[in-house]
Amino acid sequence: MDTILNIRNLSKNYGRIKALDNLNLEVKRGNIYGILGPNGSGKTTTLGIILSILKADSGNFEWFGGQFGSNPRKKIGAILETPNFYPYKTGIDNLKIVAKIKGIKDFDFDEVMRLVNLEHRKLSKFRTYSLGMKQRLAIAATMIGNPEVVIFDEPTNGLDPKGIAEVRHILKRVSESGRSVIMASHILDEVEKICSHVAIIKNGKLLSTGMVGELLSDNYLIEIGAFNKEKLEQFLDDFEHLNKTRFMNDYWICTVDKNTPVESISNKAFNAGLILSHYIVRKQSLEEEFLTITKN
Amino acid sequence: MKFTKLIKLEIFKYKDNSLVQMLLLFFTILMPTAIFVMKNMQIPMLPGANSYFSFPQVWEYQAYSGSWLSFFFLGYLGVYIITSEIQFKTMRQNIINGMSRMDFFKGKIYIAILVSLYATLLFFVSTAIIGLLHQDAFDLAEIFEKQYYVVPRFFLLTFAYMVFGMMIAYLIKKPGLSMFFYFSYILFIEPLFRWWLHIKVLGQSKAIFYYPMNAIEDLAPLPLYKYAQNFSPKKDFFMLLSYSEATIISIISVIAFIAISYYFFSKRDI
Repeated sequence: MDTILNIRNLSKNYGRIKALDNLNLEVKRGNIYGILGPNGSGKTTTLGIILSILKADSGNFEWFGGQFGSNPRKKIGAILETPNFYPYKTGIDNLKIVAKIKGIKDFDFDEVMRLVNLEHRKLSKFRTYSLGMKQRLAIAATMIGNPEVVIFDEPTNGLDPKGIAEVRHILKRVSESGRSVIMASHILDEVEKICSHVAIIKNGKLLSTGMVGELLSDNYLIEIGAFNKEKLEQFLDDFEHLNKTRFMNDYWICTVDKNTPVESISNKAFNAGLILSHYIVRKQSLEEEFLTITKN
Repeated sequence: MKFTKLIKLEIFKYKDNSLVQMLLLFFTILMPTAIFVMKNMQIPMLPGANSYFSFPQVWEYQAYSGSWLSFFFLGYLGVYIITSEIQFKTMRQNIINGMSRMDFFKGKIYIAILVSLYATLLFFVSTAIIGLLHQDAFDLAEIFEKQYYVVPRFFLLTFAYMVFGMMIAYLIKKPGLSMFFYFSYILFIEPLFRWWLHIKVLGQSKAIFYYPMNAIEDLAPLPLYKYAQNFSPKKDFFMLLSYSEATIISIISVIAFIAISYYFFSKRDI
């Protein structure tokens, strides 16, 4: 599988704030790549640099192995932060501007408007669109010119539940179309469902990267509760290879080192005289993995 | 992108913009009519009002009134076409969509050239019509008497105001602040700075005139200044740059405005 994006030692400062710190990433063709990170972690800065609207202080990146010269962005469809269009122009006219920039002559604008369910509003001015419609128009714009890669930055930000569901449905269709997708998002459930690969960044540094399945299979989670809460807490503190992450209403969620046999935990609890009220062993969700990684 | 593609794209972007339409409409209406404000003016020792409208003087008076319109409407248009792209974040989206920064920049310069050409054509046609209506006999030599360069000077003046407005917009980015600075710089900041430096600090010399906005204004000065200059008892007294000096300084200024704009646009985050 060939590399479509190679980021090498990318750094960027905003005054004294380090937005990116020697970031390295590689995205292969066909990957649906999720970039995760808390607010201010450097996700949008990374996307801004690879889309040439922000200047890196050091490091570099290369699209498609340099195949499309100095301006490969015509082969990329992207939305960064908010949908940006001319408010006084109609939806379809805004798409025509995108097509003109990309040098696309024959394009079926109606079809792409149908895809995002905006056909009935194609002649309305952009400023009259709801936020959900604006976001859908932006997704339509990314489809123009049959791009090799599509980039979405927080595509469901600010949308109501109906809007989120609509955009999620469209994203799923885009990801199924065989294109490479790079998506920065807070919504981990979304990333877990759509993405094949994920990179977790915090403070501009890459904390973890890999296939979603690989990232999740390393650690187990146990949910453990007991009638005697003090004794349970003492037990968990004393147990090596077990880390308390969160206390829910009446049980703890703990991560377990992958080499520790999870069956032994209940036996040890029994031997320690603990009567368990709740005990579930399961794999980590991406959200939990994310919280564990970014917490450390 | 090619010149024609860029210019078509820019026209397509702005053809539905009501502010752009209004600025051009006001300019188009006022260009042939503003000079008639002078119809009722009668200043002692100066030629009668009707002489303003006859060849060859009409070129100078019309260029002067047109220069205010260019400064006000088209210079502001220069500010607007950049700040609107920043405000709507379409500048960054154009780049994301695959436009190079150089193409984006060239597109704006081309539109400034196109608008300046339109303004110059309007100036030429309206002046010719006004002059011919006030002329008894058609005499080509008299029509253009010593005024062959007024048309290209008017183009340079309009283009200079537009690229100056664009430079301010590239530097300041905020629409309101850019507009305020554009008008303030031309009307107050440069004249006050010249007065302070060359009258208060260094002492008066001809250097006081060698400033970009002053030179651009002197491409189409108020013709009455010439009379004032003629009436002065001092031989070395002058209020205006010669046309050739004004043209050279204006061209240098325009090149500087474009270079500064491109430097900041290409180096900065957008």
